Amino acid sequence: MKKIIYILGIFLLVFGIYERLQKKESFTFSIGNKEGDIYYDQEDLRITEISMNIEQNTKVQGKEFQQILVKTPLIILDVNSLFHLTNYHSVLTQLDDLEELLKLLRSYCKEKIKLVLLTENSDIARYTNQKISILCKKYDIII
Amino acid sequence: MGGETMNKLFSKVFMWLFLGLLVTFGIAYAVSTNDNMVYNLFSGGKYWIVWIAELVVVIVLSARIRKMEFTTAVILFFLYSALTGLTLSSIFILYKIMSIVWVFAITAGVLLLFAAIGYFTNIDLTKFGTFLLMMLIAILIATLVNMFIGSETFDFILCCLGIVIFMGYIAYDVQVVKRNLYGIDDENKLAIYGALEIYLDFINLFLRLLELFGRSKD
Repeated sequence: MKKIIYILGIFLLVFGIYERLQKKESFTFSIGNKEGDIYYDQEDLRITEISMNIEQNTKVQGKEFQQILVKTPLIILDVNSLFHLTNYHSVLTQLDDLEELLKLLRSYCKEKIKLVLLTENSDIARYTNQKISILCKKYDIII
Repeated sequence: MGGETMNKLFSKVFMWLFLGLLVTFGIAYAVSTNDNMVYNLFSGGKYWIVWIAELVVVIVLSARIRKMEFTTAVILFFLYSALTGLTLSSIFILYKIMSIVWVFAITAGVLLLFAAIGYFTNIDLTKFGTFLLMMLIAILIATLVNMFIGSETFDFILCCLGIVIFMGYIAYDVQVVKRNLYGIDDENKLAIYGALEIYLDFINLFLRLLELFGRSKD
């Protein structure tokens, strides 16, 4: 009896420490825009470039990319600057790249990922958004 | 037991205690160097699995100590120490390493002081067992309630009360080992079991002192 209470006590104390740790490191991370507490955005940013930087664990604002993805409770991925809607063939290639990126993000981030869809009003944008929405459903991503 | 036998027994108890703590803090530090591992441990219910595993190990060790082989008892003791190490890894991320070292040293000092009191006093501390257990249950319930209320003052009071209770428990457990109230015939197994009891006192006291005096990073 005493030992069970002891272990329960340790459990509560450690859980309290972890809660404080999470609160302390609570930040949002945005990719493709500058809205998050930490952001990854630059001119002519390509989807494959983001995936490559995650895999190589490059630094984003002084922090390791993978660490950010693991710790953040919310990732906002804005695809507006990432997609180049030149033709349908190129969109399909970019959708494949996006799927790879979403898979990668999901493998590191167990919390919320929110995707900002294309805001352009055109047939190709609507088609792309439709395909992106299917991918979001597959990888449990909010849109 | 004679004086020499008693000295031999407590040398073994404190040797196992030291080794158990070494395993715990070694694993906690090693795991903490990989942030991903710590965050993964606390997400997706894995922490519950570790906690249940800890419970099972301690229950098996407590219930079967008289019948099990000494080697099995040693393995279970180290397994428990290792599992505790996993759960304690988060402290190395939140608190400054020097702060942890200082609080560890303070806890060790307090442990030695109250172990000496328990060992040398003529007062029968075993009669305080029920009182200490009741206080411990009360603190646990109050801690659970405070998780919803979130009062820092209440948390501080509970922390101080917890420290007093675990100081009392150290003296109490040392006396229980000294008098062998567990009824374990084998001296080696009694040493392991005593080490486990005092180890649990140490970890609980350490975490409460850390909460009170520990300095977090940044």
